[in-house]
Amino acid sequence: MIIRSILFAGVLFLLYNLVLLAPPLRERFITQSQWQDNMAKAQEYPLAKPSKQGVIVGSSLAERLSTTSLQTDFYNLSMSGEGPFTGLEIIRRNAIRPGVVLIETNLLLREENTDVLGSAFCPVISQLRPVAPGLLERYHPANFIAGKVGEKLVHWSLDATQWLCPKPKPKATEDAESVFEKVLAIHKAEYEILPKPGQIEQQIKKLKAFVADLEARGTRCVFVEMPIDNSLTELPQPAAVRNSLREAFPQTKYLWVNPDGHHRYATVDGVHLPGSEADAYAERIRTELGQHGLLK
Amino acid sequence: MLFNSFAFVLLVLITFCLFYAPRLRALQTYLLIAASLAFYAYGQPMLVFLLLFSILINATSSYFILNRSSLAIKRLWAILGVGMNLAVLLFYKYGPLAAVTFGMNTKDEGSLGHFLFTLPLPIGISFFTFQGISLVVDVFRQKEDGPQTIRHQSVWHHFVDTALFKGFFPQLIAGPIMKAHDFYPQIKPKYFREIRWDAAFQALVSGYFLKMVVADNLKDLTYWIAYPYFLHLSTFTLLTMLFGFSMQIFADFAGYSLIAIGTARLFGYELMQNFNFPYISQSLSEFWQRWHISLSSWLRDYLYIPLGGNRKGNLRTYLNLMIVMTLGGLWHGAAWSYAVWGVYHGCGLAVERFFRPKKKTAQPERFSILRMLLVFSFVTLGWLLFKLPNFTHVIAFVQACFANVSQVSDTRLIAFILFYSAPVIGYHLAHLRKQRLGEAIPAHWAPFAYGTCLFALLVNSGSPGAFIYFQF
Repeated sequence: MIIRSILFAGVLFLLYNLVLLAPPLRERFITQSQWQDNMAKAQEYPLAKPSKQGVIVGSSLAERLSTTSLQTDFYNLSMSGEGPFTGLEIIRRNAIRPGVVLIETNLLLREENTDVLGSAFCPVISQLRPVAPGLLERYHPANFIAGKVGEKLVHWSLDATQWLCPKPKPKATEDAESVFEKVLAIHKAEYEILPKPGQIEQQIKKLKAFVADLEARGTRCVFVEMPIDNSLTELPQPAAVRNSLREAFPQTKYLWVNPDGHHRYATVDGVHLPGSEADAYAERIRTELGQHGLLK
Repeated sequence: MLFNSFAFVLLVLITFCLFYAPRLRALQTYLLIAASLAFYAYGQPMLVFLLLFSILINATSSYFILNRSSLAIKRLWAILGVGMNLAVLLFYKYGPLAAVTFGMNTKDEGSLGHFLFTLPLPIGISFFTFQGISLVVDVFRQKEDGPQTIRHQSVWHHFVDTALFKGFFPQLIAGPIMKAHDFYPQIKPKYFREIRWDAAFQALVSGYFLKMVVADNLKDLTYWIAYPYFLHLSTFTLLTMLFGFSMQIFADFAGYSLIAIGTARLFGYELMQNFNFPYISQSLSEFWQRWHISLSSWLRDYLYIPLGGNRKGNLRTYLNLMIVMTLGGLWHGAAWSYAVWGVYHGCGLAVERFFRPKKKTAQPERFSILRMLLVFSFVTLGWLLFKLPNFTHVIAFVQACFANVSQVSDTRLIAFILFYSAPVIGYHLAHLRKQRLGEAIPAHWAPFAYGTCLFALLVNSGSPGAFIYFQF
């Protein structure tokens, strides 16, 4: 039974990879969660052809920056729940050297995610991925079956059983505001706490090593601070991180893109920009990059 | 060391090769102990001394119980052994809870409160402590010579056997909690030709499938049962996530237990079954005979029955039930929400007992499905206390379920949760089929079923996550 089971699994695997060779089918896969999306980005970065001119690294804050809004050839390696180091480590371990790397500075204190890195650089499997797309996170069978077909079925079932419960209505503004205030309060409490002594210095030391490595290979590093709710901007933690970073990477030597102090950015939860604001900020970044001759 | 890590696979492979080398047959037990210590030390190197200390306590007390003829002396050693086991567990596991509950100063370094609050929680302490108590009690209780008798031998051999019993790595950190009288008789030379390959393969493939394909994927989908993220989700989305968490916790723990059973089989040991299709239970008492069987039977044998069980009248039975379930709840974690979870189940069992008909009568089929759904719903609601240890967040979740009826549902999240829950449902339905027709799936389908599981492991595993029960 053991041998027959293994053989059957092997046949299924081969057939599945053959099916995945059809590009139209590949486009029908959707990732199931932000963590899977992170893994997919990390695994697909070395496979991106042609290689991108620029890369964005950071957290879910910079993830909102649409690469189409930047109107240039960028790969967004920003990941929800992560900081810039996961993306920087992925760039470091790959042979591809982008022309520009945009480093989001807001969540500098987060360490690199070893699970994401382990998945992206898993021995043997990472070498097989270019020829066996079935090993890529994005092409999990579930992402087609549940993501495309299942979602439609659920949607249809909910529509068919609408008589059971009141017709869905858009979220009441009052509710949305109440949730916003609760989430904002959590962010405030988090940002009130100063990092442990030496923590910022340690992260900056690490960042300096990454920047030096990238610059040695001809990559320009640009620091981007993503806008957050005005009530959070000057709280002890973000202020301390910002001041230390500006000291370590002075604006006289490095290009910084900062939020316009006079503009009040709308956020969905205190820290994440909604689509329109993210597009506006991407436009601002594009202008800054253009002015410094960093766009092709 | 996680079962789904390369380090674990490597450890098993090396140990397996050495274990069956004919020249090393005399050292088989020592090899397993060495592998177990390496397994434990991998994550928390210093705490391996605690494990050794725990082994020493149990080996010493059980040795003296076995080798003394006076009942009073035996009892003294038994009390000492059980007491020491409980002291270690209370100190490490419940020290932080005590510090918080008694309002100690946990912030200033050097204070007792801070010391207790920052104690490291040794992985699997609840499991290996309970096994230790089982050993001490079993040797104290045993009277007649039989196949399950733990025999007295030299100090060294008794120590070695105890080290293997407590430390055997497949079951060291999350069970199944073996009873001494089931494990000791299995300690003997093992031969390659005696390996039950098919049984080991089935347990390993099913276990890894449940853990890596079902539980690890559901983990990322049920993550949003976290305050305050769930506040704006629709009732249907919330209920589906809770349903998904119920599937996840089963797949995670049953998967772990199956991997442990499969790995142990590779070394010629048979661990007890830990899950028996719990979600088809038609009553809460049946659920507890099917869920985490090794813990339920441990609590029954070493707590409920010694307390008097159901032999001392109705009131005492209810009291015993509440005591056992509350302590069983607290066993899971050092937080009061776990005690509340225990009380919740204790109340459920008491109510069920109160309304139970005196005479057993045949029930129509449709009622049995209704009962299954009722028990499943009760149990699933209880898992909320596992997912949200802060009680106010539990209340907020329940309130959101009532308040958000009109919100728009997250159809994608729902679709994925239902998709990953399907194997668990299928697993239970297959068992129901087996009960009726005598086989879960026709035998010639088995390679296709296990082959599909292997394929899914290869192309659809979730992001690796620790086993939920590791924290206990």
